[in-house]
Amino acid sequence: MSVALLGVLVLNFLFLVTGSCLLWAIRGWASWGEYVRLGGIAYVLGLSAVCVPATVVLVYGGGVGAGTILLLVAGLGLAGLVAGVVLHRRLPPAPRLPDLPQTPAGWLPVGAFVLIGGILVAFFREARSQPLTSWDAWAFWMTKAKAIYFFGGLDPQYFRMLWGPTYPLLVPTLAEMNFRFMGAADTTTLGVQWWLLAVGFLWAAAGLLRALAPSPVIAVFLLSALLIPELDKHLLARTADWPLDLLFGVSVLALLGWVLTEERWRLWVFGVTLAAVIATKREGLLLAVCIVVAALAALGWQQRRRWAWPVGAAAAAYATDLPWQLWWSSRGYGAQDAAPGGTLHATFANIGKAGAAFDLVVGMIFRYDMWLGLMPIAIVAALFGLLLADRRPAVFFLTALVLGVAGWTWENWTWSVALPISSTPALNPTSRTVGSLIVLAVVTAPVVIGKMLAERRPRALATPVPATS
Amino acid sequence: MGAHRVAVPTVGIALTVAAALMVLVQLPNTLRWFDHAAAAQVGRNAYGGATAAADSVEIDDGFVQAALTMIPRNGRFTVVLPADTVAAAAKNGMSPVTFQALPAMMEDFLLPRREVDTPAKGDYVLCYLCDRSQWDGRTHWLYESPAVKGALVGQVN
Repeated sequence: MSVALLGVLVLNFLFLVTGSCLLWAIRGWASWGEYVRLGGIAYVLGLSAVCVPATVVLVYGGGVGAGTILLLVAGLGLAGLVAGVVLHRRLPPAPRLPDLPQTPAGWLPVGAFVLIGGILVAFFREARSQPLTSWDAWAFWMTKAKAIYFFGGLDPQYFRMLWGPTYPLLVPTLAEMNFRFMGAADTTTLGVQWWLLAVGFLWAAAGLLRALAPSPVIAVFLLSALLIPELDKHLLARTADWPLDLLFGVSVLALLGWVLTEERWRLWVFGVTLAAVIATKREGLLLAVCIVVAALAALGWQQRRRWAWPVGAAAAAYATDLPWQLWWSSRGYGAQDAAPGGTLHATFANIGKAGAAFDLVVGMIFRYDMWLGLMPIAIVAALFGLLLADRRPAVFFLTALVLGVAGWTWENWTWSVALPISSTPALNPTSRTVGSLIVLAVVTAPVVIGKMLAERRPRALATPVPATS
Repeated sequence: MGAHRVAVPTVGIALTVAAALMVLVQLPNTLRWFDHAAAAQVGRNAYGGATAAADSVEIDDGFVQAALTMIPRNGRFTVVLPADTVAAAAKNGMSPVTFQALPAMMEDFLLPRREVDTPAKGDYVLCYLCDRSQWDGRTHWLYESPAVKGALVGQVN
């Protein structure tokens, strides 16, 4: 194992440790087997909780060296431990071997998860050795990461001149942290970090879905997520597109889980991961609006007393991005990334292209060669899900999807002067941006289908799982 | 109500089966893709993968290697292109994308070496089919690519 690879693994282990401390505080776990099931949530929580404040450190003129990273890890981890003690969390007794499935059907999800592990190993071989060749990565995402690494902060030469001076900082910061732990700006080994994000997403999604859907359904959809051709071809581009989508997927599930179960810890996971989503790409703000409105719609007027929670969590997540927005706006960099003539002007000036933009977005999300048939399956499930007594997951998905399609359509026509409405990836980013809607479909479809199956044989789905308290 | 209680779960099962079939069909393709992608990387990581990235936009490998080895880590450089890149690309049978990519790609590869607009004495000039006559008088050329005539690395006197 190379020193660089070891560095990536150590850094990510620290994310897991930090997230575990935080998860212990907000939820706890009744057994070590349960901890293993929740480990992905801990990892994504830790990564988000460390990286978001690290971007703020950069904005205020600091560097993200090993000392800062360790300070953030130790500070957040300690805060989690103290909160856990105050909340009387207990550590479970010594681990014991898990119970084996008693029926042949019980082995199906086990087999699927073993298969997912095998595919991830095959994916790792590529992640370990693929050099960085993606245009956006070497043109600005990784150049910014290297500039932070070599010059110790937001060097004005690079953060003014490079493409996207208003683009959020999480991805360059995460890459820079990896460089610190590698001891070099090794952009090839950095591919492993992107692979770990995919592993973390699948692991976290499995944990978040566990109380919301039957295991075989979860297994099938997570397996299909891993086989999405666009994920397999472009995850390792080392740009911000897939990190955004994967963090968004975790955020969606945490929020939907809270809507269905009212478990407060899910709201914490939603808030922290949403902060990471917003800090990853500007589109994160649009996605945040989509899912918060979807949550309000799913709760409905009758549960309006709960509306304040997701809105408050989203506002808190947004607040963590304000320092960065003040940084670039105070320097007048906004004009470089705005639509020609300004966003409001471009919205109305180019509205004649709205139809073409809509066709592009809708056409793109149904492309089997890019996303398999996941979107039609999720839509059919949601439409039937509207017939159920508990239609909250279906309403959540359809609302978020409609708003997402409207949002990407608006983005396309508004920026159509600079980025022509085209399905060619080199000319227009829609083939990448709609990935978030596909992830939305992948993570919500098992929940909707779980509700559909529960109709036949009522079972206790979406009931809170007891946590230690 | 009764019919819907039967139909909805059946649709749920059917959708799960459809997703499972999709997985079964796609799985071999994905594994083949990973195998192919991993095999294709063998030998492509020289100079931190810079030559692989250069290949993707048809920049000469020798030129990139020369820049990486000749310019010290605290050095400064400028990238100089032909005045009319479209005409130069057509004349030399190159893709215009090569010229579009070159400044940003070299800026990324060469960090922590800083790119400057106006090179001073001791700074380096990366000339890719530029008008070298404008630089000959004040530049000591250190390297010219044997594969792409006019891909030069020099140092300002």
